[in-house]
Amino acid sequence: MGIVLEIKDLKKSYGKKSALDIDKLEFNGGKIVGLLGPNGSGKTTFIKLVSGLLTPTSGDIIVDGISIGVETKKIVSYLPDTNYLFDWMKTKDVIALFKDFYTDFDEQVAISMLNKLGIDLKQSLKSMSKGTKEKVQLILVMSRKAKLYLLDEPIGGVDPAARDYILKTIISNYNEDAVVIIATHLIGDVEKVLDEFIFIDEGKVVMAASVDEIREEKGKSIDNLFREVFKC
Amino acid sequence: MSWELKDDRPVYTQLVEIIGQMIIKNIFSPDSKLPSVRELAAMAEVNPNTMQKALVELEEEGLISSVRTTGKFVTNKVELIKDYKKKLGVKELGRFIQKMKALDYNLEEIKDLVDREVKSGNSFRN
Amino acid sequence: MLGKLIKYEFKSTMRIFLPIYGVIIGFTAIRLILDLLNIQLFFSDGILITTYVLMIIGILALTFIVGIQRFYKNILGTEGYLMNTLPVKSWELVISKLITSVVWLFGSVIICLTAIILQLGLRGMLKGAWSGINTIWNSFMFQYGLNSGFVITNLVLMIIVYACYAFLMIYCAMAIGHLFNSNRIVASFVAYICLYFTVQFISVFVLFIYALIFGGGLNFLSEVSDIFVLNVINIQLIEMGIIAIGYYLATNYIVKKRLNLE
Repeated sequence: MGIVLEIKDLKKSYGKKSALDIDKLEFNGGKIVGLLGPNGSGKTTFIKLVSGLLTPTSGDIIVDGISIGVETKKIVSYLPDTNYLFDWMKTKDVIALFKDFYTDFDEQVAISMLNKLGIDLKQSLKSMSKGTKEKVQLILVMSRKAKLYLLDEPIGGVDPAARDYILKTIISNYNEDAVVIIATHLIGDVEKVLDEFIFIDEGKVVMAASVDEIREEKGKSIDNLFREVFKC
Repeated sequence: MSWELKDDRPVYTQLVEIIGQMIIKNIFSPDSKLPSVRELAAMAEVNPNTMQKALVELEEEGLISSVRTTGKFVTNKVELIKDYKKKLGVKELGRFIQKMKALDYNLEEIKDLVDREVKSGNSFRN
Repeated sequence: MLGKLIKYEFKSTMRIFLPIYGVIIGFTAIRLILDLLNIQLFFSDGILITTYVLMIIGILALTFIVGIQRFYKNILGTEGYLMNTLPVKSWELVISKLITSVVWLFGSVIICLTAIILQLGLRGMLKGAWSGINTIWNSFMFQYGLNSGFVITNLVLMIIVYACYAFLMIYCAMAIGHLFNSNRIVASFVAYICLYFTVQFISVFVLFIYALIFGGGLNFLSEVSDIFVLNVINIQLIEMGIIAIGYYLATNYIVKKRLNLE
């Protein structure tokens, strides 16, 4: 399936303060990868660099053989950790927008998922609860047949039922050859959907491995391992 | 029957056991079509690759088979399922005996204990 | 993609401008109807004119504020998460904002002019003034051997160049402010002031050179010819155009190569 995302000597700093410093990382197609770390460890910085919202201080980010730019934005589906859709729009307006700009967006998939949740397409985003808005965002992002999904805290601050819904939506919708990167600090909640994980702290990769290998070798969950590695 | 997963072992080995038990218990009956990998993964809320790995293992056991385009089916050989049940039973019994030996029971004592308890019905309400 | 961006930009801004245009047209229409029915209003012509002047200032200010806010929020602010991850080129983002803002500026000017002309024209309040303006206009045209069509085209061109120049200067200042890690709004203001003074300096310098070469020296103010004045206007227009392109290139560079959405 080949390498979908490649990071080389990536550095991002603000003045003298380093926010991210990664020598080398490769993400193979068909994998769901957890980007795990405490708050402020550089997860969001990483995601934003790959989505093109931040400019690296130095180094290369290559998605499907292409440097970050218009061409990579066509194949990267990004879910920010905040509400990023225009509030004045109705759900159907946002669907139209995605359809207009993303050729890989599957309108039917999105509509059927929204219908299942009982979301009225004519309802404006402004009048929705925070949780509903988050689900709408996720549905739109997962309705694209992208090569790389970047999900920043998709389950942050939602109730357990919504969390299950979100995880189910992710695993049943991502493109099979794609890479899904889930950045979160809620490890216990996501670990069973992960193939691989990366521990990140203070902008540096602390550990990267396969979830099942770690369970087999160490006989413990990633969540427990995390608590050990990041013990205060 | 639930998709409850424990923390301390690889997810796929647990999935093999859970699906195996579902087949033994006829939740997935012989010769029936299994849900797709994606659907099973969504049911268990696990990664589809992990589910795939588990299914491959079950296929090696002979419990399920792939029909190229239509999907995966539970085997129609009921004998095979019975054998598998026996195999799991033996494995579980082994674990049980190990634990009893740790409590300083010998095989005769274990047998007696089991017989007595079964007769009185105290420990086996189901 | 540029067309689609412009479409969404209009959809977003329409919600602000159309109701306001509606209010102005409604207000004017009500005034006209009352007038035709010979109903006396409670307020005087003075108040009416003041209202219109305030309205024009208000709507022009609003047009600029919306232009600024759309660029800042939509590209450099929270909505930038969506806009900057769309597969569109950065120049398309900048240009779509610019075109939309300039069109609304025109819209605002036209709505205001229409409202005023309707008021003045139909009420006949300043009939004398109308013919006066006409006379002055015609003699002006005659004096310079120009025709109205040419002048109006030039005027429109001037407004377009000026509007592009003004919006791009603000965009550029905000983009420069964006280069800072903190206090970006303050930095944008400082950048604007710096740009303003730099441009003023360049402008004076260019005029000075022009005067030296064609105006017969430093005392050009005392003996200006009509052609000289027209040329000065043209030079300023060209100058503005060139500076506007500079602003555009700088803005585009920053959005493309130096974006850092926090």
